[in-house]
Parts: sequence; C-alpha cells; structure tokens
Amino acid sequence: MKQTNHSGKGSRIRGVLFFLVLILLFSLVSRFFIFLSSEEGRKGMHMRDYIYTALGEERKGSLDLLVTGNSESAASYSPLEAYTDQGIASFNASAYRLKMQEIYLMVENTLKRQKIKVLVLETLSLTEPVEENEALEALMKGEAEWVFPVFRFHNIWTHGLDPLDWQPAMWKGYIIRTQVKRPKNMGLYMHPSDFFYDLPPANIRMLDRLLRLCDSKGVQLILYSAPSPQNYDMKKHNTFAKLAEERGLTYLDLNLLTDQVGIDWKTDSLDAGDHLNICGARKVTAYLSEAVKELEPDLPDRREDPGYSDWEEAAASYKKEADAGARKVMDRLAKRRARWQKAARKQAQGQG
Amino acid sequence: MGYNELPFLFGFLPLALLLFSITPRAKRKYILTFLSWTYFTICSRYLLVWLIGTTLFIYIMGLWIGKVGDRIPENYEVLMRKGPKEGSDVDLRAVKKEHIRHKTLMLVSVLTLFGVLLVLKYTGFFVDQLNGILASAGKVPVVAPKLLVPVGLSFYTLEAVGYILEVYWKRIPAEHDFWAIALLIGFFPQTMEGPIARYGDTAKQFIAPEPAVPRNLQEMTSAAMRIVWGMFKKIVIADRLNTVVAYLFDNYQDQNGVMIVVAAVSYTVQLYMEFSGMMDVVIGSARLFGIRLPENFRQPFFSQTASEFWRRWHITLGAWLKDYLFYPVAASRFSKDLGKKVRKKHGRHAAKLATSALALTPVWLFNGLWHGAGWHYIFYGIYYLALLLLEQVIDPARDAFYKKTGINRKGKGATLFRILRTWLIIFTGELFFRADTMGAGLHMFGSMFKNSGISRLFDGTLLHLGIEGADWIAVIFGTVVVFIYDVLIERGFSMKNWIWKQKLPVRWLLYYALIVAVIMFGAYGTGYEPVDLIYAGF
Repeated sequence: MKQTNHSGKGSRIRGVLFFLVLILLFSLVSRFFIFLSSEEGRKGMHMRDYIYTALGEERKGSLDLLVTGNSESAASYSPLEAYTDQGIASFNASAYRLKMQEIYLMVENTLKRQKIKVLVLETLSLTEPVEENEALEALMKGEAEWVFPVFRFHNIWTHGLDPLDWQPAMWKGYIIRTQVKRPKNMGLYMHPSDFFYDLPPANIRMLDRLLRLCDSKGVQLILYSAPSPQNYDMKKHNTFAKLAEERGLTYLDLNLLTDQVGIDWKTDSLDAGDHLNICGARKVTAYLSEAVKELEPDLPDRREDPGYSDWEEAAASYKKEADAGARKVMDRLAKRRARWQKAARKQAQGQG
Repeated sequence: MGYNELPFLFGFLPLALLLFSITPRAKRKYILTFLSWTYFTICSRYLLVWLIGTTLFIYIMGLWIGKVGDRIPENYEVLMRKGPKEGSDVDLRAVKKEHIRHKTLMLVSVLTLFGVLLVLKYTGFFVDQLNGILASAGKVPVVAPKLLVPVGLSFYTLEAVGYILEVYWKRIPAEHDFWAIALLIGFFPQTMEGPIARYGDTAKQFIAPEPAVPRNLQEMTSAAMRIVWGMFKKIVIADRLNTVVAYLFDNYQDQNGVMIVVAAVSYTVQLYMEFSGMMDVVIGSARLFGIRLPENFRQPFFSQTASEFWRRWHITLGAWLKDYLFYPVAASRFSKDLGKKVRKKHGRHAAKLATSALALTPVWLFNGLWHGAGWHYIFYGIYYLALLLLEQVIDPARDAFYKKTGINRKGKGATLFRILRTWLIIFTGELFFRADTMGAGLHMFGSMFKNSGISRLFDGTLLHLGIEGADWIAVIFGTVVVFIYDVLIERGFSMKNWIWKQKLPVRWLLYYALIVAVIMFGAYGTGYEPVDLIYAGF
C-alpha cells in the first residue's frame, strides 16, 4: 500500500483532538459506571471498591475523622460506636491488603470533599510488601481510577450476572463480624526485643507524603496498631515507635495496651488472633475514640448537631445489629463450651 | 516492569519516545542504548553488567573473527583440496593456521556465551540431578549456589550467538559500530520476550532509525493500535484464563477426564494470547521508534502439521534453530556420510529420515531445554521430535492413502481434519509444557482417559475454577474476536490497510471501540492479581 505521509500541523491537531475525544469518552463512560455502581453493580463489588463507593456517598463536609489501613483496621474500628460514645463523625476506609499508595490517593481524594481533622492510620499497611515498580504501578492505577472511575468500576457489568454476588451490611465502612476463635498460642507476642523490622522504602516514602498532605490540610495524623498476636511483635513496635518519634507523630500500640483496652482473647478474636470480631472492635473503638478526643480536643461532638439526625438513626440501627452480633459471639462460645463439656463427660464416663 | 504494566505503557514508553524525538537523528543510537540499558537496570538492576559484558564480548570477538576471516581466501575448501594454482604465492600452511584460528575464535565465543547461559540458568537443575544421584548413593547433597538470572538472558544469548556465527560464516561483515551491537541484543522492547532478532533484521535500523513519531501519522497510529490490540489479548483473555489454568494445574491430582482437556486447552489459549499479545505490544512499541522487528506468530492454529505449527509459532526461535543448528548439522560431513550409507542399504526415504533424525535431535533437545531447566521441557522437545519424524515416516503411506481413496487432500474436509489433528498435538504438548514436573504431566495425561465426565462442561463445574460466568463470557467473546481476526489475516486481508481506507470518523470509532473494550473487559484492578509475563520466565 502506498504510504501516506501525514505530517504537519493538520495531523498534530487531529492527534490532540483524538485524545481530547478519548478523555471525554472516558468521562462519559465513567459517569455511566458511577450510575451503575449505585444499584445492582454494587453486588459482587470488591470490598475496597464497595467501601470507597460508600465513602464517596457520605455527605460533603460531614466527616471529622478518617480511619484507614488494611484488614486490621477494617476489623477493629467501628465509626458508629465512636459516634455513640464520643459524638465523633468518622468513617472506616480500610480494606484487605490496602497498599500505602492506595491509602494516600484515597485520603487525597477524600480531602477534596471532606474537612477531616484527624486521620488515624493502622500501621500494618506499612509492612505490606511492595517493590518499587509495584508501588509506581499502584500509584498510576490508583490515580487513573480516581480521575476516571471507569477503571475502578469496569467490572460492574459482571456483577449482575452472578446470582451468588451479595454485599454485607456496612456501617460507615465497618462490617460486623461475629465469628470467634481464640489464639492457640500467643508465642512471643510482645516479648521484649531490641530488633527492628525492615519496612519497604516505598511505603515509608508514601507515609512521608501522606504526612506532608496532612500538614498542608491541617489534619492530625495518628498511627495505631490494632491488637493482633498473629501480626505484631516488639520488632514491629520498635520500628513504628521510632518512625513516629522521628516524625513527631503520636503512636498508639494497642498490643501493649490490651489490658487497658480490655481485650479478652477468649472472646474478642475473629480468627485465632489475626483480626478482631465485633466484641474486640467495640473495645478498641471505645479506647481509640477516647484517646483521639484527648489528642484533638477540637473534634466536634455531633450528637447534638441537627444536621446529623441521619447518623442518630444509623447509630440506633447499628446498635441493634452490634448487640445481636455480640450476643451471637457469646452464644457461639457457650455452645462450644457445652460441646467440650459434653465430650469431657463422655470421656470421663468411658474411663470410669 | 513488564510491557503490559502501566509504568511501562504510560511512563517509560512515552518518556522514551519524547527523548528519542527531540534527539538529532545521528545521535539516536546513543539515546536508544541509554534507554535500553536504563530499562534493563530497572528490571535486573546491577545484572546489567552481564548485558554490557556480552555486548563488549561479541563486539570484540566479532571484529576479531571478521579480521581473521578476511585473511582466509573465499575458495579455502578448493584450495585445500586441490592446492594453489601454479605460480601462486599462497602459503597453504599459513592459510590453514588462520582457518584454525578463525574456527577457534568462533568456538570460544559460542562456548563462552552458552557457558554463561548454562551456568546462570541451569546450575540449579544440574545440582538437583546430581543430588538425586548422591541421595540414592547415600551421600551428602551438594548445595546449589544462588545465581541471579538477568532478564532476557535466553533471548539475548541466542541473538549474540547468531551474530557471531553470521560473521564467522562471512554472511555479514563484523559490525564496527558498538551501538548497533548494543541495540541488537539490548533494544528495550525486545529484552523480555524477544523476538529473537538477527543482525540482518535490525542492526542497520538502529544506527540511524527513522522514527514513526511524529513524522508519519499512519505508522504511529498503526503502531499504537497494535499495542492496544496486544493488550486486548493479554488482559481480556490471557489474564482471565490464568486463574483457571493455575487452579487446574496446581490441583492436578483432583482432576480427570474433560477437566484435563479444559486445562490443556485453557493453557494453550492463554499462552497464545499472552505471547502473541505481548509480541504485538513489543513490535508496536519498536515501530514507534522507527524499528521493524521480525514477526513471531503467523496464525499458528491454522497449521496442518506439527512442523508447520513451528513455522508459525515463535517463528524467530524456530528460524534460529533451523539456521544455526539444523542446517550446520544437516550439512556436516558426518550427516552426508550417514545419508550415503543409509541410501545404499535402505533407500532414499530411509536416508532422508536418518539425516533428518540426526539434525532434528539436537534442535528439539535444545528447544526443550531453552524453555527451562526441567524434564518436562526436555520431554516437550522430544515429543515434537518424535512427531516430526513420524510425519516423515508415514509420508509415503499417506500419499498412497490419498491416491487409493481418491480423497482430495486439498479439500476442505481433509484440511479441517489436519488442522484439528494439529490442535490435538498442540494441546497435548502444552499440557506437558505447563505441568510443574514430568510426573505431574504424565499424571494429568493418564487422568484424561479416566471418567470423561463431559457433563461437567455444563453443570456449573466451570464456574468453580476461580472465575465466574461473566469471566467465561469475556474469554469466549475475546477468543472469537481474535479467531475472526486471524481468519481474515490468514486469507490475506490487511486490517491496517482496510482501516486506513475508512473515513476518519469510522476509523476513530474503531479505535475507541477497541480501547473501551480493553478497559471494560480487561481482568485488572481489585480482585485480580497481576499476571507475570510467561515467556519472560524462560
């Protein structure tokens, strides 16, 4: 075929026009996908996207505190509990294996709509293994998803097709979990150590970037470690304590404060000391919200604010569900105990 | 940083293109080398020293071999057989000495290059075999040293050996421009997965590349759309199938009958979509820099025989093996003598078979081992060796069959039968290729004939392999689209020319449709694990 040389100004204009139309197309498709995400599309949505969607639907300027991190914070902080106890309007934007790069972008974009006063970051996200290239990939993907939501919601078309897809009830980002399993062996949980843990440099860089962002927006950044014998030890504590000290941040390691928090490993762990269930989350939330209130006295009490009547309703509904969840935990334990006693009796009779 | 990753597609590639475009034409080889070495460093860090070392080595050895070769007369063989013409002052002894030197230099170069490949890539495998022997003898096992393998080692070693042999055979003069050699084996779009370029294909283009950007809009658009098309194959089809393939092969002991067939077919489709898709990205990326890389695929699933399949699948590897291994062995004195002896005793067909077997055996053993250090890879090579020899053995019988039955061998029915038979061969080969071990491959092959359970294709079992119904729809839709495209190309249709003949709005509509299809149907984002490039692992 004859090669046409399309050089010159015309082709350059056409090239620019092509990309402008493409951007317009992405925006239009994104809007369509956001529309879909509010209906059936939410079924089967990945937990991170489900939470981000709910966060985006919070009334503009209504949130004062944001808790974020990976599954440790997802399972340990309940915003409506903090609202009931301290009147804090908060949201738990945490998800399984959330990377620091994703957290940064989420906070950056949330701050465009919300006037957050305190950001509480669960520290285990800082340990998430990430190579330099993966960090760059996560940032680029994340940026694209925030600019053109079609990149985040592109799988929505699959959700309606699978009848098994569903979503659990979410309470300002928190999902009530009622399973219970005590840790088998506490091992060397928080035994003294002088060693430190190697954090991926890309994550430390991201923390510093997050800190700069918080400083520029007047947000207080607080670090906390959720109680978790499976994930924490003194090596990690030393690392996070040093990291916080060097940056002038408050660090609350609840693994060293389990007595003050009131953690009972027989009743409060979801999965043998990895995550907390509703009982553990209630205790951590009570402790954490009180501590945050002390650290940031300007945090408003929204319980008297008429603009938060919907929060009152949500808190009332949540309380019913959370109480039922806590009872379920206790029932499960009682049933388990009864089974063991029965088995022990049988064994004793057999021996007799 | 894989070619399918955002940092490459939207970071490194555009930046490289920008740098390249603002550099004067005469200096572009420097910037291309800089970009290529930067890319290599991002992927393999300090292992760049291996690439630079290889570049320097073949540059110097190439010049040396070329220089010595120049002192050997063209008619060396005749000269040695018949002696110098009367009155000629040719010193036969000196010429012979140069000839030996020439050959020694070539051998040292080739052995060094393969030696590095062998040590870095296969030490673990050889130590494992040794430990097996030591264990059976009750001796203490040897600890294998942990060696880091630079990205693309298998690919650039073949390119380097090819260059040395071409210079040795005097098919090309030794290259005096270091940067041409650096780019011949290190050009960044082909670092990870090839294609295995020859000096004649690319080297001269590197010295003064004519960029597609920004001068030729048609070239630029075609190159960019080829990248998008490659991404369609990779993230819509291959990455979705990865979950199914990993599940079935990881849990192979729980699978039998039709599920083994699903595993073999899924992996074959995944491999084709991924490898050919990445070749589209690689060739498209290179085109943006004005470099034409050789094609690596030519609709392989339309092959009617196993040998044709290998002329259409990973073409540059097949061509490399043919030119640098098959022909030299087939043209060797030993092969010729063997042919003569067998012809005398058993006839022409047997002689052809014997010489083919002699030349094909190293080719297929090499092919298997090149893909990786494992018995299943060696078996994969032997499998194709056996099939290719079988093709030759039954040649006369097949001709006789067509003659006797009167079946038109070029008819649609016979052609379709041969294509489907080749599919069977391909799927079986890929089953062993993907299996983790030889034992796993044999187990899976044996399980295929137990409890066929065809109903599992329709009773929802396929929805419990890690992907849902919607994913299967995307895979089937994508595969059908690629199949239709391949049919059109096979029939000589040029998509590039056809698109370019359309009016601007139609063209743009097609481009946008492809881009949106990749974004909407791609298996990426939350819930999908990124999938490493398969051939980059070889």
